[in-house]
Amino acid sequence: MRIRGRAILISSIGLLLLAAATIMRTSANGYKFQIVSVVLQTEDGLPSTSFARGHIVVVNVTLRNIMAYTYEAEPYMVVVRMTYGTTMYGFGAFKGSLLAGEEANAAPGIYIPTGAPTGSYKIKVFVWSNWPRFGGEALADPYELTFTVTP
Amino acid sequence: MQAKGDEVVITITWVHIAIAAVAVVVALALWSLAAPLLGPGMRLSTNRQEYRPGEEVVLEGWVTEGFLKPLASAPVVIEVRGGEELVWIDQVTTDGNGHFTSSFRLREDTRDGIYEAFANTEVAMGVARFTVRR
Repeated sequence: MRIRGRAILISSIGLLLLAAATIMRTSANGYKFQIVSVVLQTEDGLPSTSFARGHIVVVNVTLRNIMAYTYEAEPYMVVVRMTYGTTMYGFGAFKGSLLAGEEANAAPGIYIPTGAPTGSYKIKVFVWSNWPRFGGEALADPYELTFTVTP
Repeated sequence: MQAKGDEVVITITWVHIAIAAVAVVVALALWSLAAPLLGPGMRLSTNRQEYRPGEEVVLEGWVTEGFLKPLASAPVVIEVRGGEELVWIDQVTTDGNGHFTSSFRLREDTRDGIYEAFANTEVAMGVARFTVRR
């Protein structure tokens, strides 16, 4: 009887630890990933906030899996949107997977059309599990920055 | 049902079976009517059915997590495309009423055709369609 009671106690503690680990898996806002940094670069890899029409904006994204524990690598999709006002002038995307605590770095390029207006543009980076039409969900807070397009 | 001494004999006739079958059908019909109200769901719509290139499209949605309870402070991911052409992507957050909006302007070179907007949360997905015509 004593052995059975001890087994129940150990099982209960195990369940409590499992529940705690499940809660700790995600960040305070519930996201599994965090965008660590976003740097805009020229085609030569030089950081810049000004780009000419007909050139490519390289969006260098560093991403981290902020979960405390994962059984297997967590898949993600990074989507980058380029807008002028509320019009989308380009996008880029890449997919990958990360274990808990790991970081990844990728740099999709977005072409600025020769007919695009000049002025202030916005780059917004999203981290999703997949495209929304395939049931994708948000995995991180978006990250936004601005740059200028010149003639 | 008949009692014969200690024995209880239950007689099931075709009438009983028919009544049971009707009851099952009625229960299923009631469940199918109630399920959309009880389960999670999303209503997604556009402010118009038809647009011209260069015009603004406003997407609006409401999300419930079940029993008509609004899904508050939840991220919503959005994608709008016509065939293979992607015209808008966004991520917004629902307010306290489970409500969200996302608006964008169509490029002047947007092709004519039928476009689909997809919005997804952890509990439900919504789809809305509109037409672009010059």
